[in-house]
Amino acid sequence: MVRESYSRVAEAFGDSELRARVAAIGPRVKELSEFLVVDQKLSDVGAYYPHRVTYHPTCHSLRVLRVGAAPLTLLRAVRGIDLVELPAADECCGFGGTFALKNADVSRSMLTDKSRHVLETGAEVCTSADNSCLMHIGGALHRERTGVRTIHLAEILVNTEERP
Amino acid sequence: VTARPTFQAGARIALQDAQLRRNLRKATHTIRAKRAAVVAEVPDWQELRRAGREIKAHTMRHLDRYLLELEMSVQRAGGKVHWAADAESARNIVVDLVRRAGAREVVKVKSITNDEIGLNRALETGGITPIETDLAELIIQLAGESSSHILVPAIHKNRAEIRELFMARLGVPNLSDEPEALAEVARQYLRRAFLRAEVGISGANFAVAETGSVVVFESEGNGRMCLTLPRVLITVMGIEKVVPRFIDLEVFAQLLPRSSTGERMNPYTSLWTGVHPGDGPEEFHLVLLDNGRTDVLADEVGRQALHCIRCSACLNVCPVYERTGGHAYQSVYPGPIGAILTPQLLGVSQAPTLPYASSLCGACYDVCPVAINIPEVLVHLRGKVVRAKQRSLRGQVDPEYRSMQLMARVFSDQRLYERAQAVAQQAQRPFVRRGTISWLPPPLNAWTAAHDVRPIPPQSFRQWWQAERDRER
Repeated sequence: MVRESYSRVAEAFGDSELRARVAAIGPRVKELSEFLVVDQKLSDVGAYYPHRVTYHPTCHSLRVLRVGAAPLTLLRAVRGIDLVELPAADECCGFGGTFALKNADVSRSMLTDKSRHVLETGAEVCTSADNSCLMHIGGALHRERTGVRTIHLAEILVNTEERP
Repeated sequence: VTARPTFQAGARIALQDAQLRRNLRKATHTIRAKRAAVVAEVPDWQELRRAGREIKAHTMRHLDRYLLELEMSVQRAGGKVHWAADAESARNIVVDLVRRAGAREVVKVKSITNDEIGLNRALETGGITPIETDLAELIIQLAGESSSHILVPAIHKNRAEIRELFMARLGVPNLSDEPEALAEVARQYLRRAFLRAEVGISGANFAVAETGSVVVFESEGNGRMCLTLPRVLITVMGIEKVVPRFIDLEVFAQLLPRSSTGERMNPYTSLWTGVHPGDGPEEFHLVLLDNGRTDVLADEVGRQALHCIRCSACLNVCPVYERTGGHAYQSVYPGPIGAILTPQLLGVSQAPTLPYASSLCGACYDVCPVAINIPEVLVHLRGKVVRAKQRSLRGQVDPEYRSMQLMARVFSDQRLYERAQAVAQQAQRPFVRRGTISWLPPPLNAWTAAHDVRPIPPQSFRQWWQAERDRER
């Protein structure tokens, strides 16, 4: 958002000072997994998470920020984790901000398919690097009493064997 | 003037049509996989995309020059060029040309642009019978429907439905639903039409300014028939289809088939340059259509929509299109490209719901062979819709506008944001049951209709961070 959209907003306002501030802040903003894997050259952060987990890569991570495999690199190094691949992972969950309200019917249809794919993995936890997707997917998984939780990638990485 | 139905209204109907949903899912997933496989084979695909984009951007910057060059080249080769500012003048030009040729019937190929101008109805009103010759176009013409896909206009129909249609409309008593049998019936019907036809009417994929050559990429061979058999050939082409040089086709000939049908090469590519005695049509007319395109050109962000080469890769990959089909978009240009093209060609006030018909997932941008940043244009057009709305009193009191204004204030002031968070944390309490919110009052019930909500935690991340740091000290 900060890296991609702020510059467009600043451009739209035609304010040169705002544009300069945005240009300065953009490169300093990092996605968490990108910061750990690319900048800090870390893959194993010493995390421990003994659960069956599937990872939703999100449109933003895939096609806008292009963080690539960084989140999966981190997850693969987590001890005790049973990481299962999400079918049709690159498909949008249907959130899209106001899209979920303005086109609620289409959004819900997309969400149903995403939920179905999550359930197909048999995972107990669906994780992602984007809280809005998780709010959307998790909201439906909870409503349907699927017994699958959604948690942010950071919440997995913070668990250790000493402090599970 | 009746208001165009919203995208939402069309989507709601489509979403409940189980047969349509299955037909679309099957077709889009098949083409998607084919495209992905043949694109992956090309080592310099990204360079090709860049080249395609550059050629188009350059042409758009100098469109005036290249159109005049094209006119000269076509005339030099013995063709005639007609300029049409809008749909009506294009229709009049074509109907007049057909009349002068003395034809009561025409064969048609590559009909999207001609659908854009509503040509068939104008021909019929003028006592001329148009016969669509692309198999899918023929299907929807016989069904009295409109196209729902740029490349496969009858994508919404399966073969059982097509079998019934052919039996009813082509007077075939018994017919199997095997694709070969269906194609054979259409072939018999069309072959007679090709041999009778005095006039052919086509669209165009490209026209070369340098040589005056016009190009059609197709799969079925019906195009070759339409372009070579009739005595008179009329091509209607959007002004954005011109490319500067013959060698530019090298780029698009690689990009287009792989992106559209998922083939390395399409079966038929027809190129013709004016007229040649004893070979092909005796008369060639090129109708250059504006119909809103120069308005699109004036928009620095939106103009990239004119780069589109009508491959339909964006439709096939779009999760929204896959579920709603083309009819929900209320335009001959459906899907993501339609969502940015239609509001620009007609003016955003005419199609204000289309820029919102996307979750901005970006899949369309990734597959676009000329790298049109469709999400960027969608957001840009949403801005236009909102600014237009704000000019009216009703727009000023619109609850969405008011709440966006409020959010803008809250989000731009850290203290206000923190206070709002604290207030919301308190206000949510009556709605929390066993750690979950399942219902919220309107307008927030739009969200809770499908989602349970996790309550705002008592401690925000920043508060937790601060507390941890204090503890460490």
